[in-house]
Amino acid sequence: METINDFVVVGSGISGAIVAHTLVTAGAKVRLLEVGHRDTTYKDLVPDKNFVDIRQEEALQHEYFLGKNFEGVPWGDTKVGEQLTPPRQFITHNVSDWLPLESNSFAPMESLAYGGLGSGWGLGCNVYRDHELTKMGLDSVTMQKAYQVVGDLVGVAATQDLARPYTLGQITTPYAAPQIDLNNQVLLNKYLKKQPKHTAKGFYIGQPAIAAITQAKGERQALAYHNMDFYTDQRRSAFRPWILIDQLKKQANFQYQPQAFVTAFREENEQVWVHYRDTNTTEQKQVKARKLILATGAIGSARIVLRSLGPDQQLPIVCNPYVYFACLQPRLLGKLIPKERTSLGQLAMFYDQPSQDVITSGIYSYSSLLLFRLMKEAPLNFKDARILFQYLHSALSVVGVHFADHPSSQKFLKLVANTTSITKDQLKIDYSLSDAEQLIIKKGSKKIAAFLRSLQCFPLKKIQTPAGASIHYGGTLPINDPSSAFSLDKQGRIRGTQNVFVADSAGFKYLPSQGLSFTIMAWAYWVAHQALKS
Amino acid sequence: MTEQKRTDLQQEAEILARYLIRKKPTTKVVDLYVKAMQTVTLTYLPKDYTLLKLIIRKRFLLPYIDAGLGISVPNSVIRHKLLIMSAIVETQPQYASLFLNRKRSKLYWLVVGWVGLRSVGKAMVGWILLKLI
Ligand SMILES: Cc1cc2nc3c(=O)[nH]c(=O)nc-3n(C[C@H](O)[C@H](O)[C@H](O)COP(=O)(O)OP(=O)(O)OC[C@H]3O[C@@H](n4cnc5c(N)ncnc54)[C@H](O)[C@@H]3O)c2cc1C
Repeated sequence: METINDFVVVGSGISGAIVAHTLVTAGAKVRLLEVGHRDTTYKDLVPDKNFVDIRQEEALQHEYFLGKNFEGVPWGDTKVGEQLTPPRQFITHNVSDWLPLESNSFAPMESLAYGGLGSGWGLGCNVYRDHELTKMGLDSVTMQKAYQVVGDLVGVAATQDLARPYTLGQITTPYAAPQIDLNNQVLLNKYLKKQPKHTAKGFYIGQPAIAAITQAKGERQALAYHNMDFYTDQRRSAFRPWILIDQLKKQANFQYQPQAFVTAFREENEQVWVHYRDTNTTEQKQVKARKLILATGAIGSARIVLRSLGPDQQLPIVCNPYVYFACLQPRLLGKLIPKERTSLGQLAMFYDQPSQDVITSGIYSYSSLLLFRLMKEAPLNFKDARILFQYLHSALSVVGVHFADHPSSQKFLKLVANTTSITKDQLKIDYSLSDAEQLIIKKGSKKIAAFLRSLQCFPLKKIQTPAGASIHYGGTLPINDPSSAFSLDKQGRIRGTQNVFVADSAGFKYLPSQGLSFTIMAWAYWVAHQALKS
Repeated sequence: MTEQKRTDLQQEAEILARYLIRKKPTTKVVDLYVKAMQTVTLTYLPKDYTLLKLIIRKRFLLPYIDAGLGISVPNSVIRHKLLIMSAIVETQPQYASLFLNRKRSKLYWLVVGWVGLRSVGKAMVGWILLKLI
């Protein structure tokens, strides 16, 4: 006989992990359904050593740097997921089969992996300020409390500096920020020399808050300065959602069920039936729950809600526009950079002008990616390109710039029929920016580039990424928005349902430029609490 | 794969690696290259077969053809093969020092300047060469 679960949670990403943890800790009986692909190829191959030592000593390094099938040697047009290193590419495994998409204007990255996109996220944490939260449809007082709870749970390293209002704000943490590498120290010093002048113009630079621990805690070790952060999580210093799920699996009131692709839900007699397909056999199955919490990512949840409640409707979507600059700091040419460093974001820069959206930039050193990737981009012969890039390497950095996004009638998604797909449908996304939005991006990019130049960090090339490339999605089920076909109430419940909640960023109807994932965690915590209470 | 095909790929591997690192490559590099050629999908443009044959017969033309393609047909198969070989040698410990960051004197700018000029020269010769082929 079918037993009833108190809660069915769908998804083990950042949102699903926080929801499941909150519910299980409160004593509820929880079943987590998801597809849950894992990296079974590279996990045990990468040694616990420094990047430079590996490069000089390890005979098998080509396996994880290039991939066993050379999948880490990109060629031709950029594809979704290509920026992930081979040990991280499982994150997008099977997505085109199970989550088919039709779009000429939007290229999102989605995941069916254990830990979701969080298995490879860059760990950058930001709190939103009160006015930003209000615009998103969130309550600032409850969110500030939730930020502190999730910050304590996942462990965030941060420092008190000029960037703090945009990184961790008032949230306290026992973990000191990681050391900055030489390149970024030089940049920061240059900024600090004329700091009052720069802040008067609205430029704030400091260290990003990183969801990683810099002192050991339980089975998680302190961040090692191995510069292998894009390839391995051996020490579990970085917060990955699967770390929480691994812990929950030891609890009697938690049941983890992988290979379950959820297609739809239906409510009946105050219970929710959750329909799913076994991903091995594609057989259709269902489970019953008192409450269902979807945590399948803003786009994934939209798919499930449309299929369940109104396949002919269309929903809005927001996504941060993203450009990046390849930059050179001439002062670092010919310098030997100490090998103890991290590949994580080194500095965060915020351009804040009165009554305008903040523009957020993350500064990374090009330190643990291989030269051949750069050689491919240069219009030079490979032999000379190697000599030049070996010299330039120490002085190269990448500055990624995110812009805020607002909903508009030109940004929407809907389900359309596709007889060849497993679910007999596919998502169609139309996304375009208005002229005014494009102008903001153009002018903002120019300002950032000019400011970087003033710090003697020279942008060599600007890369305009396609819409969707920022991997920050939201707004598909906007909170308290009656104009949308489907929306959420303040508790995260889908309007018109009794027991179905959404804990990912689907509710965020506006996306500030700062990274959204820390806010997703706080929202997921809040939704789980509301579901427990209701 | 036929024995002949394997021998051809091994010869190709040696030519490409020697060009990039100025040394005879190890057997492992050659084997990895052969494996890559069986694994990776290469999209040949009509001229690529001719160019490939030419490079095998007249190795000294490779730097010019590579440079010429770099400015005119960056997606050519020759460039794809060179990228794969670069990636393979970069991930061999014995060649790591050719790629890793190292301390250089201020005068190294002269070397870099010379390499830059040289590569422009090669690109011009290569461009003309490609027009003639
Ligand atoms: C390389 C990279 C760097 C990033 N860096 C940052 C950063 O520094 N800061 C930041 O704020 N954000 C960053 N992000 C974005 C961040 O990763 C995402 O915002 C966040 O992980 C989204 O979490 P989620 O739980 O909402 O969804 P997801 O991570 O998409 O999780 C969805 C989960 O649901 C499951 N699932 C999906 N559909 C179904 C279905 N139909 N049935 C069953 N299960 C399903 C999946 O298996 C997965 O477990 C980055 C992302 C990437 C890829």
